[in-house]
Amino acid sequence: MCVTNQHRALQGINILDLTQAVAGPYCTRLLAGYGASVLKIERPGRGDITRHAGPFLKDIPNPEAAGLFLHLNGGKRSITLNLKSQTGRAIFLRLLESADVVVESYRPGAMTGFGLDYTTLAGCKPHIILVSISNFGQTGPYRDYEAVDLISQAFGGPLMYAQGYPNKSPLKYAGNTGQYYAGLAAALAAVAAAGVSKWQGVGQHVDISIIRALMSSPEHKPIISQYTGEPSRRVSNDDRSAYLMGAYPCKDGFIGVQGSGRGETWWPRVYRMMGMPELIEDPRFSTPADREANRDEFDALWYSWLAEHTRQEIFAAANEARYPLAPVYTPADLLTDPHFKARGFFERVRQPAVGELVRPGAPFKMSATPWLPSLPAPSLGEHNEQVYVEQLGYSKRQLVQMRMSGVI
Amino acid sequence: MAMLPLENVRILEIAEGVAGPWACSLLGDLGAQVIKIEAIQRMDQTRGQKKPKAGTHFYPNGEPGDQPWNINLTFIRTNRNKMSLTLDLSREKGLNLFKELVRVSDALLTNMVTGVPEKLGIDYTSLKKIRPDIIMLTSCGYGHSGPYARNVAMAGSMDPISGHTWLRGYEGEDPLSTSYSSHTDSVNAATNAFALVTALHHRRATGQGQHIDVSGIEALMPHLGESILDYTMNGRARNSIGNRHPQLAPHNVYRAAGDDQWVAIAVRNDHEWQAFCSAIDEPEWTRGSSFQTALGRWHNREELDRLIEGWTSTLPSRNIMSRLQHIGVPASLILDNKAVWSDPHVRASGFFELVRHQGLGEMEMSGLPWKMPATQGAIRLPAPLLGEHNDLIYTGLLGLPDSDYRSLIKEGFAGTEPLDRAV
Repeated sequence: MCVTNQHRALQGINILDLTQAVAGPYCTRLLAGYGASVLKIERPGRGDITRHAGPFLKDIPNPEAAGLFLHLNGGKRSITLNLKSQTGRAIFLRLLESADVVVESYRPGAMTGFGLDYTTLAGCKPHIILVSISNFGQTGPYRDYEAVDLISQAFGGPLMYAQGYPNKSPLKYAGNTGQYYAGLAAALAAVAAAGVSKWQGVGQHVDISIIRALMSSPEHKPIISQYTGEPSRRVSNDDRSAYLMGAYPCKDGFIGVQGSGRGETWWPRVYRMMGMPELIEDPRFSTPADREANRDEFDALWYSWLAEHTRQEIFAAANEARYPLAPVYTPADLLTDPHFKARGFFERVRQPAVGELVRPGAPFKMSATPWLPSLPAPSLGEHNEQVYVEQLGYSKRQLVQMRMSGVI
Repeated sequence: MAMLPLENVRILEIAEGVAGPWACSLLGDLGAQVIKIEAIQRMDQTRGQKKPKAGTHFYPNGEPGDQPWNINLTFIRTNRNKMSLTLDLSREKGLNLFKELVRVSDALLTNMVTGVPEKLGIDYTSLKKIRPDIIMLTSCGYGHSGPYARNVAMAGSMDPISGHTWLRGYEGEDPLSTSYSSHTDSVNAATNAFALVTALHHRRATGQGQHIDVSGIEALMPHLGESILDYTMNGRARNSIGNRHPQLAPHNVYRAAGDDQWVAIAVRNDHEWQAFCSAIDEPEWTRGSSFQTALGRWHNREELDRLIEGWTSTLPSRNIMSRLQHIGVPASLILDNKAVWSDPHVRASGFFELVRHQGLGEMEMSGLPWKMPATQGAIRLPAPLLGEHNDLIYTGLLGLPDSDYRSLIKEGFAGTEPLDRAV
C-alpha cells in the first residue's frame, strides 16, 4: 500500500499479522507506520476483539467505529481467514511465500494446534521470522496463565508495587500501558530479527513475553533489593525525599513536578520560578537541612503561590527558570496545546465509518523516511478480494464458496 | 551462529539519565558497539556525586567506596553493553576529537536540549558534512521543533503533560501527589532504540542516513490511544479509575494476608465469574442477584470489591494467584522488586544474567527484554567505569600516537576520575 513514491524506512518488509487486542496490533501498527506492508489476518465474522471493545463512536457498538481498534490498526490491510480449517491453513501457507515476518499473539501452543508452529513455517519458508507475543512467554511454569493489562502490570511492572500511597493499594498505570510497552519492545525485536533474516539468511522464533519486557526495564530496579534486601515501596507525601515530586493543585487544575528533593541543583530554579529569588539566600530555605526544618513555612509559600496561578502561568514561569515542571493535561488539553499542534502530532484521517478521525500520530519524526500519516484502519475483510482474487488468483465464485464454508 | 543484528554498527552516545543511555544499552544488547561520551568535567548525572554521603541505597550496602561514580546502582543498571570515553565538548579540541569519532561511526544518540548541538556545531546538518550517511537521533522531552522545543523536561514533567498523570490515580481522587513516573523513561528509551534500529535498517538497504526527532511526550501519548480517541470521537475527557476497568468487574487490587501484600484479580465474563465463585467455595453473597450478570457486577463493584477483599485478605497472594489461574481466572500477586528474584517463573525463564563488574564483583542483573534464540546476545559488558575505554578508543580506534594520548590525559580530556567541581 505505497501511497507515495518516497522511500519508507521499513519498505519491503512484508508482515502477516495474526495478532489481536493491544500489544500485537501496536507492534504491527508501528511497523506499518514506518513503511512495512502489514496484512492483518482476522477471524471470520468477529475479527479483532478490539472491534468489540469501547470507546465506540457515539457509544454505539460498531466493529468499524471502535476507537481502540482504529488507533491500533491504521495503515494495515485486513483479510479474514479461519486458520482452524484445512483450507485456511493451506491459504496461509501460500501467503507465507511472500512474507518476511509473521507476528502472532495467540496463547502459547495455539500455533502448534493450527499446524503452524515455527518449525513448520521454517520448513516452508526457511528465513521466516516468527514473533510470538504472549503474557508470560512461550515457556515456564506460568506459560498458560491468563492476563489482562492489570495482571501484566501487577506481575511485570512498571513496578506497580511502588506506585500509589503507602496506606492504599498499589496502583497500575492507566489503560493498557503495559501492553503498549510490550508492543514497542516487540517492534524493536522484529526489525532487528528481520535484518538478520534479510542480510544473513537466518530466520528465528522471537519470544516476546509481556511481563519480561516490562520487568527488563532498569526502572524495575531489582538490583536495589539485591543489596538492601528490601523492595522499593510506595512513599508518602511526607517523605522528604519525595518532596516536590508528583502532582500539585493550582488555580485551574494541577501541575506535575520532578526535580528537587535533596538535590541542590533545582532549588534556585524553583525559587526563581516562584518569582522569589530572595529565597535562595533565605536562611530558612538555603540548605536541605534548613528546608527540612522549615518545611511548613515553605509549603505555605508554595501552595499559596500555586493557588494564585494557572497551569499555563506556572508552566511559563518554570520554562523561564528552566525548571522541569509541566501542567497535568487531561485528554482534552492534549488536543488544544499549541506545541503539539505546531508539530502536527495529531493526525486527521478519513475513516469511513467515522468521518474525519483525529488520532495520535508518529511517536518520532524521521527526516528522510517519515511516518505514514493518513492511512485509515481497514474494515473487516476489506482486502479479501484484493488478496484472494488479485494476488492468489482465486475466482470470485470461489471467494463466495470460501465465505459460505466459513474459511474467510 | 549468526552475527548479532547490529554487529559492526558503532553508535555514539551523548546522553545522561535513563531515556538515552538505556536506549543505547538495548542497541548494545543487539550487538552494536556503543561509545558513551562523558567528561571528567561533567559525568552522566546518574553516576552521582564525587563524594556522596554514605548510607544511601544508591550504593551497594550503602557504601560509596573510593570511586562512587563507578558503582552507583542507578548508573550500573542503566548502562550495560557499552564503553566509556571521556571527552570535553566545551573545548575546541574536544569537538574536533568528537568529529573524528563521528567519521568512523554510524549513529549518534543525544539528549542534549534542543539548541545545544546547534551551538556546539554538532547538529545533524554539520555532522552530515563529516559523515554523509550518519544517523542522528535527538531525544528531548518536547522534540526538536515547536514553541516548547527548548524547554527542559524530565520524566516527572513529561508524564503529566502527556496525559498519563491525569489518567493514573485512585478513582475519584486528585492525581497522585507522589506520582512515580519512571515508566516514562522506559518508554522513551525503547522508542529511541526502535527508531534507531529502524533508521539503521533503512540505511543498510539504501545507504541513506537521517535525523530522527524524538519528543518523549509524543512517544508516550500513543500509549493512551483509547482515552484520546474517546475524546476525539465522543468529546469525553476520561478521569482516572485506578485499578478498575471501564466495563469489567471485579477488576481490582485486593489486600492479601501478610505485610503490604496485594493481589490483582480480573474477571472478564460470566464463565470466569462462575469459576471464580467456585474457587472461593461459593459463599452466600456470590449467589446474590446483583452479581449474576456482568452489568450487575460492574454497577455493584464497590460492594463486590469489599466482599472479595474479605476473602483475599485471609490468604497469601501467591496462593490466590495459583488457585485462580489454575481455573483460568486472571490473577497475580503484585510482584515487588525483591520477590522477583525468587519467583519460579522468572527463574525458569533464565531472566537474570550473571555479570562480573570490576568494582562490585559478581552480580545478577535483569536480562534482555526478548528471547531471540539465533541472535540472543547477552550482557557482554557491565556498565563501564568512567573513562574505562579511553586508551582503546583514542589510540586504538582513532589511532592517536601515545604521546598525543598522554597530552589528552594531561589536558583533562582523557581521565578516569571526575574533577572536584564536576557534578
